[in-house]
Amino acid sequence: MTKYSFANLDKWADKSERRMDYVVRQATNDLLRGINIAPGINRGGSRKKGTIPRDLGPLAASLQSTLLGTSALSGPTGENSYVGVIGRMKAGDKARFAWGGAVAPYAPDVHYGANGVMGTFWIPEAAKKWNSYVRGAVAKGRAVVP
Amino acid sequence: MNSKDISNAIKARLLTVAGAPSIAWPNVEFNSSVVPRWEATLVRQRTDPSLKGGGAIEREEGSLQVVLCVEHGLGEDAVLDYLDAVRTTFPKGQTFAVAGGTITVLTEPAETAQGFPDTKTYRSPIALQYVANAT
Repeated sequence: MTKYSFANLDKWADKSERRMDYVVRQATNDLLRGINIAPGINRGGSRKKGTIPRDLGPLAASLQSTLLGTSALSGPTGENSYVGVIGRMKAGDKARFAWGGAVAPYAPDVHYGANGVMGTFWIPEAAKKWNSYVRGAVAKGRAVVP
Repeated sequence: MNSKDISNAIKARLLTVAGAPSIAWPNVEFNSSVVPRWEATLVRQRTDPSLKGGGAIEREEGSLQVVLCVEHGLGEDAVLDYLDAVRTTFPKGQTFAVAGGTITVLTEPAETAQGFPDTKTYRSPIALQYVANAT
């Protein structure tokens, strides 16, 4: 392990910054990756809590990812659009992830339930896991960020 | 304190909200033509069973999700009245008892999301964060 002294304080600060960026990126990545996409009712599945049901429409693919901050990035869409945001994200940035929009206006119906069908509430389910994702990312960051 | 205790304590408290209509709970038969109604469900995460043994829970974080359903064409007032009533019963920082512990309401009681219509009702979701700690 590198030893730092007063003379190379800059390097130590750089390392800390890299680690903080790593934690933000890894935890955000885990959060979005952790939301499972499950077969919906029309595909023989059911409405499972915490998942995005994939049926006949583009709900999962309607994910719109936006980065607000040092290097803003507005609105790539698609199931994996979060990857682009995470690539540019720095500690302290805000990012926004949203489903629905014009391509899947039925997103709230699926999320909160409608017409007697249960909602799957994937956003609160995922958000509650944030703390543990951060803890995991901190532990991993210590090991992998030199 | 276990999950059932927590769930029942929160349900009981929600039933005390002034002017609450019929509430539909998960897996309980409900006549879906009853409007207005609330559809309530708990999202529970991060239960920590450590140190207690026997499946008892030391700490559970979660949220109460309620969808306020009113007739079409009533405007937003009907929904906002419900929202205010829920806020009065679940103010921020409120604590109340559960068998073997206490439940604390964490954030502002009712974070609202955009309302949307389905075929029969106008639906307005609210969320309430809680944490239950064993004593």
